[in-house]
Amino acid sequence: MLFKRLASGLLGCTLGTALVPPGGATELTERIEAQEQDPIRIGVLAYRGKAQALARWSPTANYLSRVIADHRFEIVPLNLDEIARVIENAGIHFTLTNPGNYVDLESRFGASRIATLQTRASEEIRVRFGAVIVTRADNAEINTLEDLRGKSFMAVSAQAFGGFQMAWRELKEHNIDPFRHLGELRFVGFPQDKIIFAVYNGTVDAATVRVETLVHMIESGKVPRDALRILNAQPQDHHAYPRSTRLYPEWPFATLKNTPRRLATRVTQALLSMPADHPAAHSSRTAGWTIPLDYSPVHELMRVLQIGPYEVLRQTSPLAMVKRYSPWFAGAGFMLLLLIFLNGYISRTNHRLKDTERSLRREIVGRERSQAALARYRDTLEEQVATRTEDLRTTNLALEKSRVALRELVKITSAPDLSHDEKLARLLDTGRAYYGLPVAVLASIEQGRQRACKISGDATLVRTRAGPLNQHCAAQLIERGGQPLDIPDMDKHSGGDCISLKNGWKSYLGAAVLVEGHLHCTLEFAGIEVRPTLLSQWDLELLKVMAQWIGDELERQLACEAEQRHQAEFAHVSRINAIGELAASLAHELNQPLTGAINYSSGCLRLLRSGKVDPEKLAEGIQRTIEGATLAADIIRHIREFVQKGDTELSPLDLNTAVRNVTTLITLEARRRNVDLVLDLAPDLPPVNGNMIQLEQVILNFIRNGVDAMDGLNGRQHCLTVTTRHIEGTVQLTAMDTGEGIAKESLNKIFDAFYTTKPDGMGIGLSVSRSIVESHHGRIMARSRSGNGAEFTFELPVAERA
Amino acid sequence: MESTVYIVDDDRLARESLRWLIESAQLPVKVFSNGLDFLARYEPGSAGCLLLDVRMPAINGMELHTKLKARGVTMPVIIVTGHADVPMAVRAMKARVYDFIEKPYNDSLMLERVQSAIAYERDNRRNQARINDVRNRLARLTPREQEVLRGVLGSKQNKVIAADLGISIKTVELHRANLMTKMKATSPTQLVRLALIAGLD
Repeated sequence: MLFKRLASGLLGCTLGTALVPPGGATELTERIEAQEQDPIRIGVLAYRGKAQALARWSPTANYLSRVIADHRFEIVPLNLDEIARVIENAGIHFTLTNPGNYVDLESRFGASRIATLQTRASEEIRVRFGAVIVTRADNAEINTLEDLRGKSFMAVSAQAFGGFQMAWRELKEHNIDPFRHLGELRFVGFPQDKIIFAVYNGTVDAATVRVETLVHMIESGKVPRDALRILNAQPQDHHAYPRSTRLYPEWPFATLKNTPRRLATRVTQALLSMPADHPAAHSSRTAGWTIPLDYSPVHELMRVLQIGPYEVLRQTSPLAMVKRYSPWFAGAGFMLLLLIFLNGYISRTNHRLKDTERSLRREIVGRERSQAALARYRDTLEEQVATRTEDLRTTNLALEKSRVALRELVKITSAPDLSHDEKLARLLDTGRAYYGLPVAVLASIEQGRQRACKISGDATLVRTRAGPLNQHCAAQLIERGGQPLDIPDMDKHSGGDCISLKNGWKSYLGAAVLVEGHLHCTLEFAGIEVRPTLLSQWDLELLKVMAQWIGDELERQLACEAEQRHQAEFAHVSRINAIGELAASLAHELNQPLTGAINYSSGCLRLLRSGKVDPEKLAEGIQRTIEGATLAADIIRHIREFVQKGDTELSPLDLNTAVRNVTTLITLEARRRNVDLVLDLAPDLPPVNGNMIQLEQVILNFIRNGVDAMDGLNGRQHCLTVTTRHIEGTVQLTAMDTGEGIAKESLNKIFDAFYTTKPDGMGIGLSVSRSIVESHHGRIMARSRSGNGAEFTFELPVAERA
Repeated sequence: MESTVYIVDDDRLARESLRWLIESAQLPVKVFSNGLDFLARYEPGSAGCLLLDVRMPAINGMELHTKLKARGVTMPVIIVTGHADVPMAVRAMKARVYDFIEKPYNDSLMLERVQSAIAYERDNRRNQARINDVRNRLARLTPREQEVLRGVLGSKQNKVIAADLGISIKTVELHRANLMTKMKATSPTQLVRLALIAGLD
């Protein structure tokens, strides 16, 4: 009976408010009649939707508008997040919210309560409320709050004050953190009825709701009275219904910082004077207002739970402190560093100043001394200047002359289109012109004896005087190493042995040419007239330079020859290797025409012996015999030519012929490996300058590579196409296979020596090919056609017509 | 039936010269440039021998030989090769080729082997004809006559045969006369010889 009465009074606030009429027509008129000024806005926490909040509280606003006639009051329904934002923007004057939220607003925005809501229960006016924690009555596992560990639990939301936070505090005081120790924590929002049903149905093990919710549900018969059990039941004082938590003051009506105090006072008076059974109180399901209560229990709850204004308590760990004060720490540290740095800087500057002072003093002393010396020298200066100027002029002239000669030498040595011999001849000519001597000789030294290898100059002089060479002078040159020997007048030369009068030479100039630090040959100039003076230092330097350049040039030529020899050797070895690998196929290739020739000639012999001689038929047989034998001879000739060393001279040749020659060697090998060899040769291909055997070797390498690449690949057409083309001054040959192509990482290295991807490959074929093509002034390229095989190409310049 | 020498070789020179050689020995020759061509144009039952080059594109000599055997062609096959090795020769002989000749070959050896193959084939053919003939005669006997024949071949007297088969001696004698006529045999001895040729036990 008691419960029933309770339900009719109090519990309305947890139920739907659809029955409460919205603001009627009379209130609307009153509102319009109120003063035409900005309305006083009351922010109300709308925990069950804004429409409902507006309907519930608008009568209260109207009541205030009526009592305080010079102001118009208006309800602004807000949710938890919005309240703080609206207050920040000064969008409301008063607020009506739950105790938890109020405590938060009080600390953040200085909200100040002016009245506390009263509710009616059992004909009693109440200003405090609590919550229950329930489980099914027959759940034997849960008897105390401690038993909730690991069990499932349901509540309204983490922010709900009556719907969760009250219970949270009780759990916390029993050392249960609902977010960690429970088996499952579910927040399902309003209405709270479904939470009770969830417990009743066994969907969850336990749950919390406001006391009134449970009471109302039992009163209205939605849940049997004995079906649920209340945990942590609190001692029953004058509260006639059970609860699991402490009691907390009801919702406060609060004024905000910027609201005029006078207005706040008038609102307080109006609220306190609202009768408990006023229609507005009915509408809001309250019993009027009372003086503001003490909200310290709410503060305590927040502090215990470290939420709301006490959330900062969670951040008191050392790490959180460091995080929070890190800008300060950093600032202090920075200032300290700055101080240390400044200190060091100042002391260093001091040091430097002292050093500078010392050196300045020294300098002053030095300057005084030099001033004295300068004064002494000033007198003889003019005379000295004149001499030096003359010296400089002569030197300048000589320098200019040698500069011109040097430029000429550079031009000669760096000329790309001059051959080695031409370069040497031009160097000697330039030397003769420079020194004004008619004859220049470059003589090599072999086993101590000189042998002229390059003579430049007046042909008649050289012929009539049997050369400018002089054993003794050469011997001196050798002794002097790289230093030049200058003899302006042979007659007066004290070298004695060097005199070479019988050849009529009067003056001599020479230097030894060193190659890689060893004496290689001598560079000598000679004239038939006596020179008045020795050559200048610059002239001798130039001679040294010339000798050195000749040495470099010779060295380059030697290296070039060695490389060519090496390449030819390498190519030769690779050709023999290739022929060796083809031996089986070549033997068969030879067998075919030989067998043919034997068959034809045997047939002829048989015909002759049988006496049935048909001359036509015999002639045909013998003709065929010759064909077979010739074919065999051709193959042998090709092999021999291919394997023989041969010279490396280049001559105009037809690349198509080279391709056909190679095909006689490789056709059978290709057929044996099931490869179709296709020739696509351009007619009218212009000749290229080249060495037939070496180019054949490159072509053979290309074809063999292609054939190898397609070996053992099933399900593909094996086809190797050799194409020749004439493209803009070059002749291009391409061998294209239908293998798997070349891996990207191999493509760059494919022409390197000893790089191979074949299991038994040597890695010399393509590197030899490259050096051959490059020695033909051509270009070699490899391309992979993304899984469709590879292309090897070389191009050579078209031979210029002689 | 005239025996023909069939030559399959993809190399024109080798093919034509071999034809020339064999034709000079007055033997008819047919040439084919590849194995598939030969398979397409070959008439079953032709007489003669077959010369096959080992290395040919599409289908090589050994493969062709295997295919022919699968088709029941019994013509002797001579494999000709320019690059023989021991394993190849062993493989060829195991596959029951008639002979294996290496290039370059001696013309008289080649002709001798060809002649020998033809003779071998001819003998084979004759034997086979005779066997077929006897088998045909056997096939014409009624089931009862065959039972009587089995008795005769077992050297049983007529009355024993009659008892075994549960018929009268007169009937046995009648069957016996009929089967002698059908088998074209004049004496029991000759009947035994015919049965041996037909492979009857």
